[in-house]
Amino acid sequence: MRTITFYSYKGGVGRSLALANIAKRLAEFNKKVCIIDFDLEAPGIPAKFSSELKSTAIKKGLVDYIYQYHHEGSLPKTISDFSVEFSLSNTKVPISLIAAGDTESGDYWKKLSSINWYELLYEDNNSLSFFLNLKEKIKKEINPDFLLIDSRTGISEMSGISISLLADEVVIIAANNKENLDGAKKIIKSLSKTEILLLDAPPKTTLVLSRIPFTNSPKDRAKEQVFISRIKREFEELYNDDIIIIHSDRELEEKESLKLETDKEDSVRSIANDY
Amino acid sequence: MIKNERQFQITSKKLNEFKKAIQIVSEKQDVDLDLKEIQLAAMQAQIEVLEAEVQEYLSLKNKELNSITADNILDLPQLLIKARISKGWSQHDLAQRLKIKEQQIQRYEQYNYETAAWLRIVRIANELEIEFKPIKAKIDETLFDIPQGLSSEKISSAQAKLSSRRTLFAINN
Repeated sequence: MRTITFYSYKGGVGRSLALANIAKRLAEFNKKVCIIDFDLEAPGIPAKFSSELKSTAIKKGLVDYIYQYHHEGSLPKTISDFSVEFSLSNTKVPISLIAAGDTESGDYWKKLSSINWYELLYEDNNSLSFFLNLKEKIKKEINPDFLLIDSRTGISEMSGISISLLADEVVIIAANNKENLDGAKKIIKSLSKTEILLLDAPPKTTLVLSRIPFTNSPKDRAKEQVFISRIKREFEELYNDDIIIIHSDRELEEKESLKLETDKEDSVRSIANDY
Repeated sequence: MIKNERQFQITSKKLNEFKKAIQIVSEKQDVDLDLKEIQLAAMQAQIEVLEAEVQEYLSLKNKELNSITADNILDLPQLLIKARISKGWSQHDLAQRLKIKEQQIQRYEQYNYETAAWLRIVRIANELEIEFKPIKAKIDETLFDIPQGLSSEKISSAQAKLSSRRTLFAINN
């Protein structure tokens, strides 16, 4: 099981969409995928699969799982009770989703706000085992090839759990502006420091630029290369791998949808290639 | 810690005496300079301690704080005294509310509540509107099924690191 966390410092950069697209592609390759929606204050994964997943299907999720341990003092026996399965068309292997919870109920939001993350993480002597056990349960009960985690934005205990505690690999998605790039830099720097390491080697990081306008004109392509090199130089001391680009086009911005159908026009095919 | 008005008066008086003494010593001409310096430093240190105590008492009495917190159950006695002062109640006032003798409260406070019965402490805490967080009991530490290949030693040292660092990030320039 490889755990990949999708992180962005700011919202609105297409993080959940990128995760959903990757999940879809992996499922098409017959890989078993499990998704955790850890963006607990603004969960968005179920909406990305709204045609495959009934909104009433989600009764319990991660918040209920954590709440039961944190407030009721009992560790849930299984993770399956907190997850749902759905299948995409043309795929054989269903995707498992550990949603944030039933966000249509007031109970969800009450439970969420009563979780004291500081206490849970630093004052509970079993906090690390609690989160490692969550991963172990997923491995034993769902046994996915890939565990994809949609992280909370910003710098908080919630995002810290997703990127510093659970991830083998962190995909950092940033739009091309100063606040996004500065945030990405902070996180890459933090993840490279050994003092935050609790158990293993630091997670592999991948920097992704998103919402870059798709273009076929050679002139605009050249422009794109120029600013990518500039960003590369900016990140030089921290990050030496390739910077991945996810393009966007008008159609995508107008009607956000999973972009991996390869039977349509040119730009769609090219955006699909980004993945 | 200054616990009541009487101690406050005594401490304030002592503080003034020290301040005068420091004046006198520093004006002395016919003494060994090293000795003088040591004397001054000692008095200065004493003044700082007393001033801090006076300051603490005044900030409680003048209601400068919205709440007072104790991180450890062993600090509860001091918290009870501080809460009484902050409410502007004398030992007599508190005793009256509880329908007990003033001397009883005096004795409790003098010995930091060591001699008070458990139910009496609870009653006083309620009267002073002390809030207790949920108090947890640890039941079993070995409930968790953790990944193979991780020794419990490794996990407990990582847990200790987490509890002492109190952050999952390393943010600095």
